[in-house]
Amino acid sequence: MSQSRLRSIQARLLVPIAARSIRWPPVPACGALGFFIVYAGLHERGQIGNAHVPFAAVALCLSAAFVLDDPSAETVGGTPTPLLLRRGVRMAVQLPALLALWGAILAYAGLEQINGAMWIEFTGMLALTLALAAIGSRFVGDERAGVFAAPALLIVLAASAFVSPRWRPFPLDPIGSGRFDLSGRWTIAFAASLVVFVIAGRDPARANPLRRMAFGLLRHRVVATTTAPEAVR
Amino acid sequence: MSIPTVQVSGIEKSFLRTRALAGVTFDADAGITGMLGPNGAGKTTLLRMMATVLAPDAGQLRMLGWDPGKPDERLAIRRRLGYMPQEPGFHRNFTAFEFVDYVAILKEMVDRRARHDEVRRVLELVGLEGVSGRKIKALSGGMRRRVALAQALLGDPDLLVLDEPTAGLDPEQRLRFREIVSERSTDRTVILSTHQTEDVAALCPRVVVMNEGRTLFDGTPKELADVARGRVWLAAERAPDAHLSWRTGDGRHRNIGSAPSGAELVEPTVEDGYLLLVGTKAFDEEAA
Amino acid sequence: MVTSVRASVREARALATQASDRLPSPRVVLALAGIETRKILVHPVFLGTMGVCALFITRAVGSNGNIGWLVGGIAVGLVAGGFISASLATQRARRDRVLELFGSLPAPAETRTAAVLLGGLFGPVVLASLLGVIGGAALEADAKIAPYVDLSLLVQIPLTVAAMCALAVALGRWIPSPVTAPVVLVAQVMTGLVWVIPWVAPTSSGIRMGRHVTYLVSFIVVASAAALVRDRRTLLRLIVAGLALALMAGAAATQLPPGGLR
Repeated sequence: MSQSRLRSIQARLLVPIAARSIRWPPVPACGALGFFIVYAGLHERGQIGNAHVPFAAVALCLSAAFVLDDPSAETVGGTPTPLLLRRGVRMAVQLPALLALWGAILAYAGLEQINGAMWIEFTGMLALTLALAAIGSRFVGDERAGVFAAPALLIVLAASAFVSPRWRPFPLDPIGSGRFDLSGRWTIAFAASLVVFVIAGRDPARANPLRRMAFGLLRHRVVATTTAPEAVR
Repeated sequence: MSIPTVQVSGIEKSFLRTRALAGVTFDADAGITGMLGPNGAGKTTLLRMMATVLAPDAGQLRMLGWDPGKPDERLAIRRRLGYMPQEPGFHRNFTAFEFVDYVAILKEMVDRRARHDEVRRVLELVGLEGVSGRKIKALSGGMRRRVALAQALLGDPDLLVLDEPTAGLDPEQRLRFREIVSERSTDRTVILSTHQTEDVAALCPRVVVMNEGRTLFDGTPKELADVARGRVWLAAERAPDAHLSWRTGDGRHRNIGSAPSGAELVEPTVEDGYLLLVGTKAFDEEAA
Repeated sequence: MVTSVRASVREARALATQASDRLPSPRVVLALAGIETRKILVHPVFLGTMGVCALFITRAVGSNGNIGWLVGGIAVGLVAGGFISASLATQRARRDRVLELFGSLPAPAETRTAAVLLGGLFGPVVLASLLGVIGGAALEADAKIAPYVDLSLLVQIPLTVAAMCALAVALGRWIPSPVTAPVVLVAQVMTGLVWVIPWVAPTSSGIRMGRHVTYLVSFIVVASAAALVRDRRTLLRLIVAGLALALMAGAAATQLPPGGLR
């Protein structure tokens, strides 16, 4: 059996397992919040405000922050199935639900004119969230990636708001009406996040020449924990 | 000359400013190699590297003749590896069968019937066939460890990396564990980290003692016990110059250290040798 | 969320059966509060939001009369950071699966809850007070901003942070899920929930600041009682919570100026 065929069969077999192991409660909770935000926007002014739909996207993305949380990661870390495939299956199970919710929220908001831009913004934000979750699983462990990613998303978006509009990487509401302002920035964010996601999701056992080099350079700064005598034998 | 199954050469690893491994070197071949060492000695870090879930900062590691740093070779290693981590994580709402089945899929067992047969086999091997339908969250701590052991045994791997597999097991299960592992050790390599010196004495033809990220001892259990030969004695009281001393069941003190002349020397055990190696170092540090 | 609620109920029942009759020792609570303060202040989320806060405040000083940057900075840094860190601190024991271990200790469960509540007060609230005073003094020097800076504004800053921290602890005790705090935060920013802990501009809105301060103080008491009641329901706590709730409702109803907001 070829490698790709094997992986595709594995992916199919893993789908129901991933569906059971994902934390689902945040999805309806965040979806409901997304609808509520849009409802509040419509209710307040009779017309949706600039910030309401993007904040509904933020709410949905908060639930995506937990998709990579896997308590069994250490146990299954030594299996031949690549980490990216395991994660890919989890995402393939949860993301359609989030995309469907987003479609419903957009339809409810009735933003025909910038619908496309909003889709790009949402997918960009989703990719950013997943990249943060992948980074989180590196630093705080696979079981708690979401605990890192959810607040990190809010911090990144808040910090982005501080950057001057010309250079703002993650604008919640469109800065201008040009193509770059409407969708270009989030397209770049999407691509960059994807790259970060893949880099952060590389196999932890791979040889990392950069880390080895850094270790060689900083070796003297590592606390020497050992004064152990030479091996007895 | 055949290549050893596991070759560890000058492995170093640090986490921020803490050095977990400071140049460990040893080889392991078919049979059981026991890893002994106090908490924080670096055993788990080393075992995680052998299980291909962590990369070293420096040094060379080869498993089954392959380099885990290279993708294709890592895949080849993982196809012949069974790993039981120190703190195995589970999907707690899965049954024991479902979880082991999940790992079996990840171990590329895609034929449903063969996979289920294999899952049943390993669950039976660890004595969990009666509770295979029970959710993991409803299992006792010892049973969960057996689930973790079962998944490591899937596919009868050539290399078994077991991190404290007997912690929390009852005496009967420990004996069962010894039976399972010793059966597999004739033509396979088992790396076993443990705090139970009696497991090492009973199972391992070879033992490696680690402390503070380094290898302190590498030899047979008998040789480890011999480290303490002539330095273990019984006395009515705690000897003042003994490094370690404790009251035994019969009310006498078992002392380890430099035995005074005329002391009632006793046959040392693996534990004595280990305590002398690791304990002496601890005492030396205290004195410094 | 459903799982979390179910888990909460189970946990509450288990704790209720184990709860000792002893009240938390103030000395133990204070000692733990010191640890919690440190954990909250050095939590990466808090440090991250404080970084954003610093950016906002820098902008406020050079903003030529825009007090919004100061308020925004404090909102992002202290309110959001304190809120999420306090929520995570409340759930730490559950996340690390040490509830059983702590349950076996002589100190009753509310000792830890009280310690996190105080940790929020000692950490983010003291920091908010300091920032408020320093920022206020700096902004007083700016002729365009000075009219907007008064004592009630400076009092409102730490009280708002304290209210958010207390709310975070209460939510963390009742809905112990890591997603709760970020979701509530987003809901607060974008929906009518913002009126639960509103930020009012005293000079321009015409709000009676005394009543608003009363509202905030009583809100802190209600949220703290709600958090502690989760561990053990005592008559005293329920009475205090009830009285504070009544005071809070009264203050909320009467703080608007006649004729509504300006």
